Amino acid sequence: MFWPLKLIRDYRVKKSLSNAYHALAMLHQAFFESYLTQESLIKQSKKLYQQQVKFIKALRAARSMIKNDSLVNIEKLHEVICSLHLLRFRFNEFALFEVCFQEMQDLQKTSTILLRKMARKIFDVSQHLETNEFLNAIRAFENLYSNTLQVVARDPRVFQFFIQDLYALHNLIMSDA
Amino acid sequence: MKILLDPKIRHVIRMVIAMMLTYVFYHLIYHKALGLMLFSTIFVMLTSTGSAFFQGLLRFVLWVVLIAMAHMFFPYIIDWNAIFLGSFVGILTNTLIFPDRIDLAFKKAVVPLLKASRDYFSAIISYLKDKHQDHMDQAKIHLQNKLLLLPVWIYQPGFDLALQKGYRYYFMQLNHLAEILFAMHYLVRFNYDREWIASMENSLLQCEQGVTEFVAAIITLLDLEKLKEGVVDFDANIRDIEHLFNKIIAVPLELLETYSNAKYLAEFIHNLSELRVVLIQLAKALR
Repeated sequence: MFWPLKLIRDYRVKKSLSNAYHALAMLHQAFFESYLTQESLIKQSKKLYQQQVKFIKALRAARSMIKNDSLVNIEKLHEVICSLHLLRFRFNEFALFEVCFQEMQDLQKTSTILLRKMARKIFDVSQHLETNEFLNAIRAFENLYSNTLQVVARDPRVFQFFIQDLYALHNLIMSDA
Repeated sequence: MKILLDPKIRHVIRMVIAMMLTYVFYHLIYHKALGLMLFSTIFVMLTSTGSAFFQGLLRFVLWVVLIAMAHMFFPYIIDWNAIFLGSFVGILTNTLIFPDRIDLAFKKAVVPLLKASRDYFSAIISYLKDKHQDHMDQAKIHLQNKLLLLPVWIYQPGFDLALQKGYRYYFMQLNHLAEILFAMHYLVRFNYDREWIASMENSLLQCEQGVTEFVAAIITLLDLEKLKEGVVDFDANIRDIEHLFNKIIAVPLELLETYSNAKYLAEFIHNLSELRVVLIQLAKALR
C-alpha cells in the first residue's frame, strides 16, 4: 500500500479502537454512578442503555476495520463489566450502600482511570498501566465485605461474585499493561 | 396490508395526507404562503413514536419562537395565519389519522431481541459443552445489533403516561436479560473440569429447552394470543445443577480460593437462576 494511505489507515484503526475503549470507560462509569446516586432502576435504564449503544456502535466501527482477534480483550472487558454491574439488580438495600459508599467511589475512580489510560495507550504504547491503586481499592472492598457486608447482607454471595469479577477485571487490565 | 402496520410507513402516509389537506386548505380557504404552510405542517409532524400530540405542540412553540427571533433580525412580513393553519393541520393529522400503533412498534423491536437472546443462550450452553467459539461470538454480535433497535422513544417526553411505567419496566428487563447473557459469556470462557460439565449436561440442555419455550411463550403473548399450553418451568433443572455443584465442591463457596474456577461456575449457575427470573417477569408483565 502507498505509505501515506497506510499511515492514514493505521491512524483510523487506532482511533476506532481508542473510541471503543473510551466508550467502555464511559459505560463502566455510568454503571457505578447508578449505585452512587441511588436512582431507581427504571430511571437509570435509559442512561445506561444509551451508554451501551455508544459502546456497541464504537465496537462495530472497530470491527469493520480490525480483525476480530485484536478485539478479544475489549470484548472480554465488556463482558466482565456487565457481570460486575449485575450487582445493581441483586442488591437494593440502599442503607447498605452507604456502608460501602467510599469503597465504591474508590473502585469507580481507579478502574475508570485505568480504562481511559488503556484508550490512550493505543496511541502511546510507552504508557504504563499502574494497577496498584485499583488492586488496593479491591482489597479495601474485600476487607469491608469480610468485616461487615458478609454479616449484614441478606445474600452475601452477590458481593462475593462482585469481588471475584473485580479481580477478573484487574487481571484483564494487567494482561494489557 | 401488513405494510400499513409498520410505524415508519404510517408516519410517511400521515405526512402525505397532511400535505394534501394543507393544499386543500390553501386552495379553498387561505390562498397565501403555501410554502410556509407546508413547511409548518411537516415541522410539527417530525415527532417520535407515541408522542405525536405533545411533541407536535412543543415543535409548534419552537417554530413560533424561531420565527419571532428571525423577525427581530430580519424584519419582513410574516404570515402568522399560514404558520398556525399549517401547524394545526399537521398536529391534528399526526394525532388522529393512522395514529401510532405503539404496541406493534414495541413488539417489532422486542421480538428480534428475544430471539437473538434465545440463540445466544443456546450458543453459550453449546460452548460450555464443546468449546466452539465462533458460533457464540456470532450470536453475541447478532444480539448486540438487535439491542441497538430497542425502542428508546418510550422515554421521550409526551409518551402516554398510562403506558409509560409498564413499557419502561419491560425495557429495563430486556437490558437486564442482555447483560446476564454477556456475563455468562465471560464466565464460560474459564476452563472447567470436563467431568463437572458432563455431569450437568442433561440439566443444562433442559435449561436451554426451557429458555426456548419461555421465549416462544413471550412472543405468543406479545402477539396478543393465548398460550395453547403452559410453559414447563426449568427451576427443577437449575436446582439439580446446584445440587450437583454442591456435591462436586465439598466446601462452602466462601472457602474456595479467590482464583478458583469453581467460583466462576457458581456465578454462572446463579446467573442461570437470574435469567429464569427475568424471563418469568417478562412473561408476567404481559398478562
